[in-house]
Amino acid sequence: MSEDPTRFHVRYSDSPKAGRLALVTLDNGADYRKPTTFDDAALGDLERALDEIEKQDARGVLFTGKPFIFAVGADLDRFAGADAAFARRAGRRGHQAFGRVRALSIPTLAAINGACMGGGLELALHCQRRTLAKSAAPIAFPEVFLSILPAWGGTQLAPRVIGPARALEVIVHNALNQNRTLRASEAFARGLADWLVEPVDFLERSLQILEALAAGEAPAPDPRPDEATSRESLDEALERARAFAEARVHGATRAPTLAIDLIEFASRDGDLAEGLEREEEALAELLPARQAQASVYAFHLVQQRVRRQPWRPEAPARPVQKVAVVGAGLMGAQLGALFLQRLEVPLVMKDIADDVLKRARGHIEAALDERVARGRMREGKASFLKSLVTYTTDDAPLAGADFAIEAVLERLDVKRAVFAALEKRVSAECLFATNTSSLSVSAMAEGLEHPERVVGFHFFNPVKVLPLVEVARGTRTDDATLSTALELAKRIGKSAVPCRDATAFVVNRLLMRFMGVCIEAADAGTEFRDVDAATLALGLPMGPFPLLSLVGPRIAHHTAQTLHEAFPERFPESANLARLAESGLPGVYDEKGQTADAVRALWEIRKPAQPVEAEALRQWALRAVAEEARLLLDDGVVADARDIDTCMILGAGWPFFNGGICKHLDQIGMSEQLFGAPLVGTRDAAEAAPAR
Amino acid sequence: MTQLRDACYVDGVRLPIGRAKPDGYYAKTRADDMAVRTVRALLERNPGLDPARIDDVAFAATAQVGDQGLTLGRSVALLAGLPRSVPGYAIDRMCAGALTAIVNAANAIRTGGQDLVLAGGVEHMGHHPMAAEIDPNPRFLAEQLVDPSALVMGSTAENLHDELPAVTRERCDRFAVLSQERTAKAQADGVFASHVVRDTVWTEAGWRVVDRDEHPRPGTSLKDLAALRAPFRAGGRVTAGNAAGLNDGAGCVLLASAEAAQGMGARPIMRMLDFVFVGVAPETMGSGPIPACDAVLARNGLRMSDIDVVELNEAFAVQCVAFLDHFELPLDTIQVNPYGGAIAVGHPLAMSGARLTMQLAHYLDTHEEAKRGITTMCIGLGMGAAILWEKCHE
Repeated sequence: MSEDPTRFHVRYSDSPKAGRLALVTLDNGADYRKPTTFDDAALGDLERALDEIEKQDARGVLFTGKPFIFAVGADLDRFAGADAAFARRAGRRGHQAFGRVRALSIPTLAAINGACMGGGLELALHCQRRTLAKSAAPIAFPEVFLSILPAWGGTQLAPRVIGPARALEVIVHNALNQNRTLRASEAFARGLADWLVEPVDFLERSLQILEALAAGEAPAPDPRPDEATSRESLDEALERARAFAEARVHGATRAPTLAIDLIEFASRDGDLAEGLEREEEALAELLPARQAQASVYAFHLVQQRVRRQPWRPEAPARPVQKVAVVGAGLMGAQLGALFLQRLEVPLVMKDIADDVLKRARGHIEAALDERVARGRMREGKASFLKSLVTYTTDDAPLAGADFAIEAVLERLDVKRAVFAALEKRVSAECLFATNTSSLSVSAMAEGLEHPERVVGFHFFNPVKVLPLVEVARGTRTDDATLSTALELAKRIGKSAVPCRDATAFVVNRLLMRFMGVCIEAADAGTEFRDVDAATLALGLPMGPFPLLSLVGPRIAHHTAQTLHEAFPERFPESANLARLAESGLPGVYDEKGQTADAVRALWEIRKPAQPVEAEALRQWALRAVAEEARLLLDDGVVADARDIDTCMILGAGWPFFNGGICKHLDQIGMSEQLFGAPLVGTRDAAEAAPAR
Repeated sequence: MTQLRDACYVDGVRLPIGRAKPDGYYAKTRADDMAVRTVRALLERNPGLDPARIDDVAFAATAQVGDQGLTLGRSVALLAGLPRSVPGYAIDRMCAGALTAIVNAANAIRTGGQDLVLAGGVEHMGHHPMAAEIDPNPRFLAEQLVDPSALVMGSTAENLHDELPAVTRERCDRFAVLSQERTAKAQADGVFASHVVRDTVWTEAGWRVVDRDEHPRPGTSLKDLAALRAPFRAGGRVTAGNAAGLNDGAGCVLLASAEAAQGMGARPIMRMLDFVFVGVAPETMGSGPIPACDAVLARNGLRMSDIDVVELNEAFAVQCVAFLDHFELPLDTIQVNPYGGAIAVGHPLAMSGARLTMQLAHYLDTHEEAKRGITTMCIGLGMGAAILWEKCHE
């Protein structure tokens, strides 16, 4: 039984013009922090409300939500452990209840006053018309992102209301594009509502429209902004959607495929009742499947758990009023831009080279100018923020910094020198953060007067996009430093996961383990393309060799070397990778996407060549990652497997439908096979105690 | 003396008045949102009004805190979507807040300083019970500047009874019955529908549309009233039945110069001729309307018989009957409160002046022979107000 059950409150208003009107409010009795969702009991309450409305002989019905929220869909908590029978029943239930709304002979109006997603949007589509408040957001169908699909009529009604191409855009493309949601103006432009209304008058105006409808008038919808009409045919739109889905998930989840099939069925005049039945079948396949179950798990991790920061020590966070970035190269400039925009405090950019500082300034100021150009920031504000930055080759301006982060060369001696010099200029409480990806935080702290303020603060490239920061605790790092780092991560809009100071922390260690297997497979004679294809079938965002190009062979090799030094048995040296790094080539592929001749020349294949077949390669790679994940846990690098999964989702973009990686390994039985127990335990170890 | 322009009443709206209880209409509605609704309604009813040409927004509230604080007129202007170039201010003269806002607005127009002004009042007595957030200066009592009874409105009413023995409880109850009857008739005749706009309010059971006053008890009889106890004094005469209630409400009027009214294609209904505010003994604040009306009549060479209609706020029946006696009018004269009053409909403190003004305008506009009217109120801490209006001629 839900703590905050959703009710469909019904009130009546007697309009002189139109007669008795029913005003239905969706409400769960909580404020906007707990959005209204639907479960079986809620649907039952909807039916009860409809029974009552029919008895009252109402002339029209308006549905609206509590302040800020219309409804955000089915209650995800109900999905964990669902089986096919449950899924089918759940689909049927929604069809039944919403179907009754659609079948009403009197005008129905959905007054979308706020967040409207999934089942909430489906309810709105079952109404004859929709008003939308300009302030309402987000509007979306996130189901495919969670490896299910809109199974309460969305796939059948969306094409009928907004057309097949837009239905595909909202249900498939947006969902697979980092779960893109729409603002009110965008939703209106796509036809999801008939009237776009000022928030101040929203309910009054919606009531007036319902009155007009109930009185038999035909109030004209608001004009839509002129859009270039696409000349794409239905076939072309479907083909484009299928190609897009394939490119995104490579068949690792059936959700987009089934969604497209259902939209196609509706778009080719499929019978509505049959279409709804097909939705039920699709849900029965998708909901119990591991992909949807893993997605629900992942959703909880990144939307709730990581925001709660369960590992946060009690020590209060120190205020950060001045930030220093030492090392103003590409990474440093990105960091400076981020800190400046999010914290709006004085910033010092320090480097030894003037031209580097000049480029950093260009980057930071261009980032602000872009925000002004897009109307996201006033010009005066941008000027003010620019004035907060000092670009210097001198140490003196560093004084007064509360938080200093270094992004210099990945060499221990260089970083230690930076910290030593810094310590002469700043207070004992100033945090020394390092963006290192593979060097030891503890080693960097050695020799300092106050080593306890040193902490790893590892960002992922591109900084603007990837939300993860690995917060690495050195042997001497104290609680206050950790709290301050975690709080700062929050302030700059990042998701922080604390870990111990082990080589390459979490993401790069697991990625390199994975990469290592792939390189060995290539060493054994497997074509690079075949290795990529095999791993893409796991649903990873990109194959290992394009990833190698993205990171750069030099950096990849450096990381590999560092891990080899730390864990030689599991991270063997790769002569081929070393040669590739030395060669200066950008990666293994040429501009045409074929294996470059120069690479073939330097890549020595073992004799006899024994290319690894796709499934075997996948198993091998997964076993390696499983082993490494188990070690991360056993060595206490992170508190819980959930931390690993959070890192892989937010730092490597590993998909929701694998739940990161540990959840996936558990689901396919590999954890049981290798360790006799799942990696993700029922108890969350991070809740028990902060990271030590 | 400089020539003054006419300041004309063009339109006015109010929300249904609610009961200031936890289950009243507006229990979960913010006072400023109620004020915003009145402004939005005025804009909707007057499409010829260009919001950018509004010169000021004057909004009154007695408790200038919380959801009624933050320089109400300006907040309301921004929240109602008026252009940022439209200024606003807040005002307080207890019960006569809106009345004072209207006078200020009218005077700004008369002197030529402003052309179009919104003037109104709001009071959410559920969120802000009278005197709950006040800290009266100890000198009031220590130096006997006022009697303790002056700070309790019901006690001032009892004091007035003491001074005027001819104003009996029975006559007060009869006046109260009349108020209920006339209010019910006005509701049925659609008088209120002309200027009461509906609102959609949040409740624990979802959104609710409110379109009529919550407070009236139609069918109230003398017997019902006689049975009520007197809470302010043992054996007293003032009861809940012959006094105004504790209520939530908002109202706003649109005032314009004659040219501005013409410019927006609107018909001016009445113009302000004169205004008087006086101080009276705080212990018998209910007497306020008497000297105020005496003064405004004298200054304009008029007598009460020259006035076609009076909207007198019914804070307490005793002060209404006292008023009638003073001007030698019968208890049931149709000249005073033809549409009933606060005893039936309620008295959200700062807002009532707007209601009186709208009702006066409606009367003048619907009675061809009626030419002049007065809105008058008694005010806490001992004041009286009287505004003299005259119908505009085409």
